[in-house]
Amino acid sequence: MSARRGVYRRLRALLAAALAIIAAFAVYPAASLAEQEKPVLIVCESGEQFLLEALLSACSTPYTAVLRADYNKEALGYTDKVVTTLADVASDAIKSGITPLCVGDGFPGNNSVEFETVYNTSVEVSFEEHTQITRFINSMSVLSAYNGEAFGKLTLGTRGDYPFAAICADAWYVPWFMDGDLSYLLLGELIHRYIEADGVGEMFVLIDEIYPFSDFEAIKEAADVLYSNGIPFIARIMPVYTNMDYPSFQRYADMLRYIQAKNASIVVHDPVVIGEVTDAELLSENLATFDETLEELNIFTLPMPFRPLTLPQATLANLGSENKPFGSFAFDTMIPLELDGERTVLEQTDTLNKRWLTIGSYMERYTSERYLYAPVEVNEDYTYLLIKGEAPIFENFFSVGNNVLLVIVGSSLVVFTALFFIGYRLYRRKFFR
Amino acid sequence: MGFVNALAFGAILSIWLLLLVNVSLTVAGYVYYSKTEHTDVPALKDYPMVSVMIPAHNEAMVIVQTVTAILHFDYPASRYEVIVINDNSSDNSAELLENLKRLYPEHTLKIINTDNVTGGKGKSNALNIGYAQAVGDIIAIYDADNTPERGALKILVSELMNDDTLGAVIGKFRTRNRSVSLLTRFINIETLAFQWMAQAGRWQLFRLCTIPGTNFVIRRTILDAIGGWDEKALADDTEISFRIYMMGYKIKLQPKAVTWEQEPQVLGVWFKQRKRWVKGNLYVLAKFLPMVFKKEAKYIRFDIIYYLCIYLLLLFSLLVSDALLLGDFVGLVHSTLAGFSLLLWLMAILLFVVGTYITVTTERGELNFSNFFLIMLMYFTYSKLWMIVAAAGFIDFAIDKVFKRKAKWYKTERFSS
Repeated sequence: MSARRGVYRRLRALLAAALAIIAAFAVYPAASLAEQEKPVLIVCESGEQFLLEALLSACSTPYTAVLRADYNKEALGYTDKVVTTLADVASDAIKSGITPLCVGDGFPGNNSVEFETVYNTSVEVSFEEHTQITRFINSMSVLSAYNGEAFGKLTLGTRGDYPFAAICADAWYVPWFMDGDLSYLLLGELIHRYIEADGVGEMFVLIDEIYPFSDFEAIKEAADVLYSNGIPFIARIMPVYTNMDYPSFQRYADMLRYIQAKNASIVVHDPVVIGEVTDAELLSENLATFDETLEELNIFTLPMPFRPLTLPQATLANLGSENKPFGSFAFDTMIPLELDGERTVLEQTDTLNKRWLTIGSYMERYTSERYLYAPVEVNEDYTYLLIKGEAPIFENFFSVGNNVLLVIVGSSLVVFTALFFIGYRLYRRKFFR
Repeated sequence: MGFVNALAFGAILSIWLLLLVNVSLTVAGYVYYSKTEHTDVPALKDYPMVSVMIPAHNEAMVIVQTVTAILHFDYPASRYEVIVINDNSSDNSAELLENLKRLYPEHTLKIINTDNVTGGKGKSNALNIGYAQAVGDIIAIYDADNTPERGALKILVSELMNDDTLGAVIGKFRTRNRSVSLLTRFINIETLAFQWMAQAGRWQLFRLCTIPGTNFVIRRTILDAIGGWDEKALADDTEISFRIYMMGYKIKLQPKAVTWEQEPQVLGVWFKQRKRWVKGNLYVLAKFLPMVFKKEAKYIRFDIIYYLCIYLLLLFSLLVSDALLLGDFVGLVHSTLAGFSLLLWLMAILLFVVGTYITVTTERGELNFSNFFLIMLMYFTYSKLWMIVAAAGFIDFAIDKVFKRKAKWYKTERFSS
């Protein structure tokens, strides 16, 4: 009897262990999932907020941004990653067992790092195959000593090389970056590594902020140029909430169908809200109605839960690559085209082609559908008049006249000045004899 | 081209043409100034009989000072008479004048007191009344608020007698109360600039001047021929100037003959005075414009066109350009006309300031930094006020014409010195 009881006891223990193991496996993925869904916490001043948010969005990572004034230590309980420009927040994170990413020069030196402020220096930023033209900086903070792994490189004139960032045991440090610069993209690369994200980003071309009263001909022409160069693009359209039955909206839809057929990925721009959203439900309803209306008109919008980083052509122009193909960044980027700038779309496309950029198709992430275009007759009523672009009249006349008058007025001023000096002598002679 | 663009184009063109005309007049005026500084006034061999007329209406505040100064002219007392036309005055001017008569028995001081029946019809009417009793071969006119310098009359008469082509000679007027207020400082600059730019410049280039209403002498024979002053004219001086020219005579500026007059010290008084001048000049323009292409008007053609340009073209252009600027700013109108550069407009403003400054430096005590800054301030303030006055005068004149209203003479208020 006692032997049988011993077997039962062993079996019960085995069963309990098996159940515990099964439970652990059941809990672990959930825990892992829960951990993955925890947003990154950004704590900073208001001026830095949108820069850091843009990078995290480009890394397709959910985040919560909190300004210093609204910061509370309890927020650290809901995250595993903290990106901050504030020393006290970094200190709280470290105490909570989180390794923060410390951005900027607001951090004191410690056992891991030492900082130095450098004045009036040239800076060359480089990372893997990417380089940038040398800039002159009035003052910047650099890592003069670090106990960890270097990330990226800054070459400061004759002073030598410094790491762009240091990955240390207690925290990751990035003392300096500049918006519109390779250093900003490098910060994005660092964040991508920090949040342990996978994958490589894509580059997209963007035609942004398309309104029902934008220049349709210019947009269509841009779409034609891009299509003939085999370049897909994102067309970000501004949401419309009213008057969607007007002929002007029908013309707008017709234009969108046209560019959709030219490999445009139609994405709805975030609504521009002045102040705070007072009725989120109404806004949501309006956006849904807009989407439905577009769908009825055969325009299929794509979601953009995480916005790629905008890479202006001016910034791109300063970047170089050691390889023939430009390469890509760890996160998504989009290059906006300027439709009313000095350069034509053809010139801009030509530049993109010459840079050996690999332009991705945003649409292919969501669908393999391709669209055709069939023109639709629309009532000519309510046609918007384009005021911009009217060439001033009599430009030549005024240009020539301006120069002639400048000479006449200038000569008259010279004559008057001479008369003044003559008059001054006369004055002194007459009244101070 | 579009209506708005056409308006803008016309306005810009006119403003610039007139600016260039004024630049030429300024340079010419300064050349004349230099000449007069190096030229002596011709000597007077004989002293012709002069009747000095002073029209006055309720001028008790200033008349004593004026008549006293005139009675002290450096001119033989027996060779000039002073006729004060005390026109429909309700103050104690008559009494004050009688006192003066008693004080200066060696002078011929005639006092003509009128009432609202015999007088009260404005300056031209008063002058005609005085003229009827004048015995001089030369008539000199002084406003009641003037204090002429001792040598003024002799200098004017000397010029007139030494050149038979002259029908009248005008002197220079200065602002007596120029330091009283910002307005009088502006007026001081304005009067100097006008005399040197418009008067001296026109004389140097075209042998043209306009009688300023005071401190001038005119041949009696001319007045006889033209029948005295036009009583309908509010700008009697401009009107008579045109008629002198049409007779073939000239009017010369002799800046060494100086009088000091009191200018309006407050904006309301200034506005009324200037509006009267505008209306008066428009009346003269309307009267003589039909003759602009006639042979007999060849001497006044430039002046007719000049007044036309100032009172119609320049005023209209400035109003249009300001209105278009305002309209474009508020989104009411839109002009696609190209324009001149900002640099050019700034240089033009500088030209105005420097040109005006040159004219004021001809006078003692005026060559200073504060005048330079005052002129800059004038450009943005006083000059804009002129536009308002001119527009108001224009509208008033038009209403008078349409409703056949009689032109009313508003006497300029005086201030105690």
